[in-house]
Amino acid sequence: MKADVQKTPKLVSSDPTPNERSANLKIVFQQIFTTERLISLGSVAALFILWTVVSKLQVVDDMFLPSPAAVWAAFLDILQNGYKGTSLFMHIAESMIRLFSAFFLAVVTAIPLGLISGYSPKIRAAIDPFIEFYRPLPPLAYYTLLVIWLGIENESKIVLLYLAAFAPLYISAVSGVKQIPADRIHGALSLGASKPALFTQVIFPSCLPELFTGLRTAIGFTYTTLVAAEMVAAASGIGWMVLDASKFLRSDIIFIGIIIMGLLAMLLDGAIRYLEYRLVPWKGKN
Amino acid sequence: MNTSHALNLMKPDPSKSAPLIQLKNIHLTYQSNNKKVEALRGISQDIYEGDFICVLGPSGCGKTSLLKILAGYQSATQGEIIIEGHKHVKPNAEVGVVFQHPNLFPWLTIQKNVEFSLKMARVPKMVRRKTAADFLEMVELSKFANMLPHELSGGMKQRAAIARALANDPKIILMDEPFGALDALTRESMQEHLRKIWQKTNKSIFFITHDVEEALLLSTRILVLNANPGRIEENIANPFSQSLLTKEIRDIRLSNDFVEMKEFLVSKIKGGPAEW
Repeated sequence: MKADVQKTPKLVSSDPTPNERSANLKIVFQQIFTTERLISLGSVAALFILWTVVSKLQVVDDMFLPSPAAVWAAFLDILQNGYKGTSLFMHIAESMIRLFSAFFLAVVTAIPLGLISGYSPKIRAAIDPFIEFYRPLPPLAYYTLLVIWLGIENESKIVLLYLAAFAPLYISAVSGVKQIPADRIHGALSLGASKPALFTQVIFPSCLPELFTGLRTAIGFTYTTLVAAEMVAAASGIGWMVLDASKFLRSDIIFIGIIIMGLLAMLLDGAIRYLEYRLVPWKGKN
Repeated sequence: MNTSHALNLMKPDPSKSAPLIQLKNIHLTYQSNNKKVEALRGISQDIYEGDFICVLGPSGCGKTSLLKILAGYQSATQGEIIIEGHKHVKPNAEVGVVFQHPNLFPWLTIQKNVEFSLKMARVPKMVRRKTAADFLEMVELSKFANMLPHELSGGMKQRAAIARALANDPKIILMDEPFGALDALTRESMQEHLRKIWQKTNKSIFFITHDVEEALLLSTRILVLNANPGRIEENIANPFSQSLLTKEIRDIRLSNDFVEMKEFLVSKIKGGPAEW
């Protein structure tokens, strides 16, 4: 009975000797730089080398493929002087404000509604047709309408992104509730849970693994929509910056803009994965 | 050995006390592929405080349906469950359930799982903590109180589930083959745990199993259920319930009486060809 607990080994013991300390550092190092991570780093480095070589050899024109140095210079330039009178930070902040306000609104509405729909087939029947209809539509199709209704400013974009985030969140909440084993609900009732407590303390946490999958899908889709929307109609934001640069054939700005977009997306996804790791440690372990 | 527990076992004596729980003429029929299936027919049984009733039967005899009706998860086609004079129709804190799989809440620590029912009953935090700690000690899990269920072995999780049911202080605890998924060694140690817990708490337990030996080593009374329709074939007081408290389990198990009783019960269980 004693040996059957799965424990992770402790890395640092109390009062390590210098020898032990260097051994500990080595273990930490090995845990951070796994073989797989080193391979990933290597393949990224290989691409950079290829890029440098190709641009050095002048195989293609600078306008199509700017050199890494030119892209770096463009980055420093917009970092110091901004782009078209707005600092780089403000462009990014504009984009993030749109993204997060929409995402926040979607989380606080789609998740409760999805949980209720998952629990009650009747409520689900009332809401589902709308979700089923608009979910497969490309958001830009109705963005035109939103711009007519709400103008070119942030309102139309936030509503657009809200709609983009709503469907995946709602659907993940519904499917999360449907996947709860009947015994879990029964068990909670036999422990004296009331209806409201059942929702907040059993159904909601039970859905967390599914909800996080929904969050990741939603943020990815919302982000794509954000950049597209900024390219269609905006006067600021990281997406707008790239589109505007293309009009002046500034491929160095386009490159750095795309790199920033990509890194931001990875950061957002990483943040959600970290939250998931902290909040749903039991995922996949039942 | 505590003498008061030994006294508690001198039951049931219906003339002295009213039954805690009554199963009154339970029938269950349902439609399956346009065919009427009679899952349970005329099940009646009085359960007294401190009874340890084992329901023994092959799969498909309706024993799990009977448990679900008792818990309030399913309604009987006919008949009723009476708990201390009132009808029991919906699941509530009066009837605790331990499932075949531990069914703990995976996001709560073992301690918080055990506290769950107390939290539902709005018991103050300090009391909650103390009660949960006591029951965790009873099932020897104190050291694992702050771990999450997935960090524990199957047997430990099932012990935590038992502690959770006990902390709720229900009138009766229903157990649906709780040790069925465990390996033989763990199962034996769990049976011993449960026997001790039952002696300590004097809870009424309604225990479903298809293991004849398990029934004989735990119960005060054994109901043999057979299928088509699900009905009580035998209803006997376990002749070993007294000696279980005083003698070594191994000695009991090897005695001729025990072997004979086991054979008798096996002969009474008529399994469908699929299960045996």
